[in-house]
Parts: sequence; C-alpha cells; structure tokens
Amino acid sequence: MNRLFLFLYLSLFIISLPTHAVDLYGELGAGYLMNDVDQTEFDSITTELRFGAYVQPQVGIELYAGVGVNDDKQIDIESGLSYMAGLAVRLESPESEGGKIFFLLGYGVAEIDVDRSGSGEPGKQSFDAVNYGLGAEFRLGNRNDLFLTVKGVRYYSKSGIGIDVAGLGIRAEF
Amino acid sequence: MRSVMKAVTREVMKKTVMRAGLALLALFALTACSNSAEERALLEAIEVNELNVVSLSLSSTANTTVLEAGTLSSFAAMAQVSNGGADVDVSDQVTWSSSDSAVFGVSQSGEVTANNIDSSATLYIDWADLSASQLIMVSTAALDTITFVGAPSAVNVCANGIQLQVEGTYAEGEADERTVDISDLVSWSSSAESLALVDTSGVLETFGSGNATISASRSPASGTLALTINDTIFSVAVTPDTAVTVDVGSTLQFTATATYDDTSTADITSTATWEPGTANLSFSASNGSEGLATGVIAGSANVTASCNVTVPETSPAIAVTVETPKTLTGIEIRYSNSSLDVNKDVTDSSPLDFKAILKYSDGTDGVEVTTDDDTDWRVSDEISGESASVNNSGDDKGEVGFSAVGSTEIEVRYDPGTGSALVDTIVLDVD
Repeated sequence: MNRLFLFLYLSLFIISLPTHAVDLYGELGAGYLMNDVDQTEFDSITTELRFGAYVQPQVGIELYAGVGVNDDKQIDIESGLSYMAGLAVRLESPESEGGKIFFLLGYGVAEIDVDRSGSGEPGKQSFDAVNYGLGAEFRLGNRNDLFLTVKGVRYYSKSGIGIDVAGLGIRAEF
Repeated sequence: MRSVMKAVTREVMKKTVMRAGLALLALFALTACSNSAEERALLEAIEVNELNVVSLSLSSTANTTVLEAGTLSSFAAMAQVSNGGADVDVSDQVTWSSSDSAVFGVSQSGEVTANNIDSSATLYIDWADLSASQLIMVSTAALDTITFVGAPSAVNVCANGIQLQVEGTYAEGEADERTVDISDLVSWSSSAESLALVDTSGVLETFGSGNATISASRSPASGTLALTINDTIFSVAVTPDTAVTVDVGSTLQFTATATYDDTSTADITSTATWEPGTANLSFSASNGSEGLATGVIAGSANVTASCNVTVPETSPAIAVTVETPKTLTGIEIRYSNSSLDVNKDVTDSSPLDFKAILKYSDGTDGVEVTTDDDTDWRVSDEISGESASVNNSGDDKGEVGFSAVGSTEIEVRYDPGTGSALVDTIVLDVD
C-alpha cells in the first residue's frame, strides 16, 4: 500500500511540473539485467522507458518503468524481471564534443518472478530501494535533440541479493 | 514586462526544485520498509535447489509423537534429495513453528519444549515452498514403569559403544496407557563403576569381568538391568606396534585391539587401561582421549594396554623414545655445501653462488633458505675496499660478484617473524 501511494504521489508530482518552464525528455532502451542471489546469477534482457523534465540546466527528474523480455534458468530455477518502476534525479556534466556523462540517483521497486523447479514458488518478490547509476551519452549525428545513452544502474544490493542493469538507449529532448 | 516574466519563471523553477527535494524526502521516509521476507524467499529457493532437495520430513530422537509434560525433546528436519543420496539434516536451515505455543514451543534448532498441559498441537518446518508437519501430543500422565528394551544380559569385558534403550509406560492399566522411548529422559547409573559405566547418552562400557546392575531412573519410576560381564578376552595388541619416537610436549595416539575367545576382535582403546611404563610419557585421562600419550621429559617409555581390571590381559610393550624437540638455532653460509673462507683471484670475474642453510639444536641441517622471502643478503663490512657485492633479489639471492682486490664481509639474515633473526657472516678475500 505504501508503494502504491508513493507511486501515485510521484506520478502526480511529475504531471504537475510546470511544462511551460522546462524541457521534457524521453528515453527508450534495452538492458542486460544481472540478478545475483547468493552467488547464483540470473541474466536476462529488459526494456525500459524513462520520461523526465529538466528542472534546472543539467538537472532532470524522471520517472522510469521497465519490463523483462526473457527469463534465465539456473540450478532448475527460472527467474526474470516482472517490472521495475520508480523516480530518479539525473545530474549531467556539461557537454563536451557531443558527449556528456550523467549520474542517476533514485528510488524504485523491482519485482522478480521466480519459479523453483516448476513449482511456481516463491513467485513474484518485490524489492524497493534507493538506486544509483552512472552513464554517458553522445549526440546522434547533427541532431540537437537525440542522444545515444549507455548506463549502468544498481537497483538493489543487500543480503546477498543484487539487481544490476547495464543498458543502452536512445534519449530524445522535446 | 519581460523582466517580470523572467522573475516569475525563476520563481516557478525554484518552487519546482523545492518540490523535487520534498518529494525525495517523502520518498525515503515512506519507503523505510524492509525487504527481508522477499530476500529470504529468493535465498531459500536457491539453497533448496543447490542441495537438490525434493521433500522434507521430521524425525525425533525419542521416536515418539507423545511428549511428557515439562520435558525437552530434540527433533530433526531431514531433507530428501533428488539424486538418491542419503537424507540431509537441514535442522538449522528450516523455519520451525508450533501451531499452539501453549502446548509446546520450538526453537530454531528443533528443540521442542512441552508445556505442563494435556493437549496436542502441530509441529511445522518450512523451507522455501517445501514443508512437513507432525501432530504432537503433550501429556501430564505419571510415569509408572521403566523397561530395558533389547538390552544384552551378558557382554564381553572391555566392550564399548553398546547403546542401551529404555521405554517408559505412562498411565499403566488405564485407558490412555502408552509406552514410549524415554532413553533421552532417564538418568543412568551402575552398581559397580569399576566394571561397567553408562554415559549420559545411555552408552555402556565395561572394564572388568563380574556382575553389575545398570539402572535407568526418572522420577518416580526406575528400571534395572542385571549385567554379566564375561572374561572372554584372549589377547590385546597395541598400534603402533613398533618402537616410536615422540617429542616432549607432543602427542601420539595409540589404539588397542582385543581378540576374544571366539576370535572376534574389537577396538578397546576407550576401555583399555593404558600404562606408559615410566614417567617420561603420560596418558590422557580425558573421556574421548583414551590412548593419547604426551611426551613429558626426554627418555624412554614402554607402553602397554591391558583389558579386564579383574583378571588383566596385557599387550606386548611398545618402546617409546621421548626426545627434546629440536629447534632452529642458527644459519650457515656455505659454498658448494661446505663452510669455507673464500680466497678469490681478482682475475677470475665469475660470480660465486652462496647458500644459506638452517641449523637445528642437535647440529643437523635444516632446509636451504638461500632465496627465501625471509632471507636477506648484504655486504656487512667492507674491510678493505669495495671488493665484492652480493645479490639480494629473486632467484639470484646469494650470488656474490667480485670487482677489486680487498676483503669484504658478507652477511645473511633469516627472519621468519618469530622474534629472533638468525645471522651468519663470511669474510671473502680477493687477491
């Protein structure tokens, strides 16, 4: 219930941003998810959509959401991402020769669907935590509004469980 | 007008940033929830499949589902594995629970404490999506009789490892009469402890031939077993069966094997009587350390093991030499495996390879440590001129080169970090 309330609150917050005063942007990408559980690693592919707004030059606030594309099977356990969603602050460096680096700090939830030996258990398990990451992006050709983005984000790391994503995407400014 | 718009826009931006900050603060405050249940679910799934566990079951040392009120009983969680292997004890991994803590409580290691009540409840174990359960009844009925089950009436002398078992009958003659294994609940005793002993787990050992009465007691009942210990010993042998050496302060494990009249043999290390022969050696008196000898002072000893305190049968003596342990006392620089003063002709520019050999207190050689990480070579004294140098790196440690006529002292220092370095020097004369 906490999470639902939080998600609605943050969604309303983003929608209420003064769009006339800020630049909006969106990003579509794919990621390689590495889910470590007690030294067993489940690797899968995810897709991700981010939508945000610059509230200051080089400072953006964005909502993100992603889903898993496939599952991985290790020691007779199938595991994959159900979804992830959350909010992040994006801090960019000044642009240099068409490229810049950025840092992401956010909070969100990632739900992993686990099927042990075809039993369906333990099923969907949600992990909410502060997430952080680092990336770089480069202008695509001569376009002022399109960027190729590469990033790595740690969504969860605690008690022998890790959820990390290395992603590649296209970001557009509106 | 434009400046007013700019000011308004800036104000909007400020408010936006403030709202963002507040939103993040709210976010952290709202989400102070724990993910421990979710973490446990994933970790347990991995643990179960790493062990190939397919099902769980419960077992009890008392082998009963009826517990006496106020007692403590041990249960074990056993995992059945898919590869056909033996069941695995997973008592420490599963989650234990009781359906009614008023009837009994259970610890996370499977110790069940029956409360003072006449009732029943279910004991559960859970691990990932696997589980097992057992209905357990707790009874306050009085214990009426204790009976030995399957106990031998006659045993060999020096026997050991004989597990005794007793059953208790509650509410005897009444409708709810029941008989259960209470071996873990009784106190054991022997009427002749020099001949027979029973430990707290009900394991019987015999030391001499004769008769003894073994008792199992739990208030208000008790049961007895009349035991005859037969003098059936034929011979005793000790291993090692040849002369051995042990350092002062070091230990040496002996074992004793008995051969009985019917030619059967048995390990009687724990029930034999051990004698060192002299004060140079001593045997441990600790339970579980029987036959373990310790060197006391340098000298000789003659070890024997005997069985049957009533009519002893003794093994042949084994000679033991107790020695003062040798210690590292020095280091020696050598060339071609011998000590020497080297006189070198300056026209011969070929280097010499020196060795560093450790020396023991008894004068014997230890290992070579020429290139050891704890070994350092250096020129300690240029007595007359810079005539020689020594390499102190890698595999070339100890290699001495010559450059001029003179006299040089070379030093090797071995310091393994024990507090005192071993040092040797050698003087090289170059003519």
